[in-house]
Amino acid sequence: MTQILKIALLVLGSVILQITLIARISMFGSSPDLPLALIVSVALLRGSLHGELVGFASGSLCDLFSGGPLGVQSFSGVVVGYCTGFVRGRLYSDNLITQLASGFFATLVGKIVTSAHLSLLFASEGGHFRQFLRIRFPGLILAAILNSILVIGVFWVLRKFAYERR
Amino acid sequence: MFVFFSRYKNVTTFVCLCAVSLILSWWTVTTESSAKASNSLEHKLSAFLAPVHFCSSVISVIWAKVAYLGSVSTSIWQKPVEKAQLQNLKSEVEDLKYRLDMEKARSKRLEELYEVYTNVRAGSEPDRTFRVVPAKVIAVEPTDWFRYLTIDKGRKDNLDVDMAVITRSDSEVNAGDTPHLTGAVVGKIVNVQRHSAKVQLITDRLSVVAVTIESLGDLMLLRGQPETENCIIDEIPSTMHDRLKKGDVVIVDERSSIFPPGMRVGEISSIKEGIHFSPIEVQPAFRFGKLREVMVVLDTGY
Repeated sequence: MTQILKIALLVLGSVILQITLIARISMFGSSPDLPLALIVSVALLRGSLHGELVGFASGSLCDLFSGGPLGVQSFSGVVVGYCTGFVRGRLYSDNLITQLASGFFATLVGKIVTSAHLSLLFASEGGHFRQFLRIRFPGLILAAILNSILVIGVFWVLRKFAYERR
Repeated sequence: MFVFFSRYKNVTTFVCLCAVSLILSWWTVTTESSAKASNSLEHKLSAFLAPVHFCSSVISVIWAKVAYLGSVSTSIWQKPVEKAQLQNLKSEVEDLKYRLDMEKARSKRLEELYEVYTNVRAGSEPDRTFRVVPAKVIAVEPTDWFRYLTIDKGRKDNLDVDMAVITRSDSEVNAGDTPHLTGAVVGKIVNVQRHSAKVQLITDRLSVVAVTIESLGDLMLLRGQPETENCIIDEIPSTMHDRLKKGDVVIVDERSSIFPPGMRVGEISSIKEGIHFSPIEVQPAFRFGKLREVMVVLDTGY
């Protein structure tokens, strides 16, 4: 129960920091994503089930504070959490390379999934996915690099304060 | 059944959560009543959202304090006591100077906002009322797919949906021959709670503003492009291409029912060549990263 409360507070705290400080940092149309770093870290530590639950919770909170439709961020959060959870048990999660690579590819997957989802929802706009690839891609790579570095810090915080080493 | 779910709980949870998210997103977008329902959902959660918005405004204050304490504490641990005391005093004086500069800058921003208010009010007819209320930006869009802000005024301050939000202009004034109001259009209110409101910026992909270009005078529709932090007008015939140039001012058309007519929207930043249409990119007159204070137009008098 204590652990659930700690994770809930971390999810809420990450969303608050994202909407107050981090989202103002914009590079080529993209910004670092602290809730995504939290989802990846939880999935690396505890597997797919925890990852997708935290992904759904933080994604839903982001949807609530976002101006977009509900369900968009929560869907990409669930996908990222589920897919990243496969790394646990197959690779050594404490390895920095694993954390960096997981953060990098999780960001790419999350953005591609969200873009495809928005293309389906707003089909009248047309060419949303092509525009995403053309315009956002440089900023996306930069955001993926920053997120992968964020994962290292968030992973350490989770290991220290929420999840004890097993 | 229980054995099946317990054995494949990862997959079943994944499928259930994906289904819930997809259904929620489709339901929010497709039907008009669901849009109202999602607004009412936010209204019901306003008791939870209000403390979060309060936290976000506190965080920005705390962040400034932490930076100040950090600078003081690092100077304490670096030198012997007597020299450290002198250094502390010097640091305090520098920090006080920095805070004084910040307050001066804030005071200047508020003075400029007030100038925008008096200018807009002077532009309206004497028998019309023009009322604005200042507001502070307390949260921004957490994702980079949309462009929304949250301000610290809400229903208790008489705010309502579809009210215009303006601020001071950051770009250089290119007055030309046609006088236009100073200040810049930021967006409009799309969601109001008791103590906060959500503002859709003109750079959001779903935003549409009725504008005109000073050199043309025709009604056009300005749409947002969050990927480039700009806006775009994509229905200009290529035959008008030679009458446009980079730097031409884009203002709100008088037929706009939401924004104050004549208010600055931005400048043309690029003109794309096309066979039948020449889409133009418009750089907004405000900077998203610098938005701290805005004004909500309660009544334009039009």
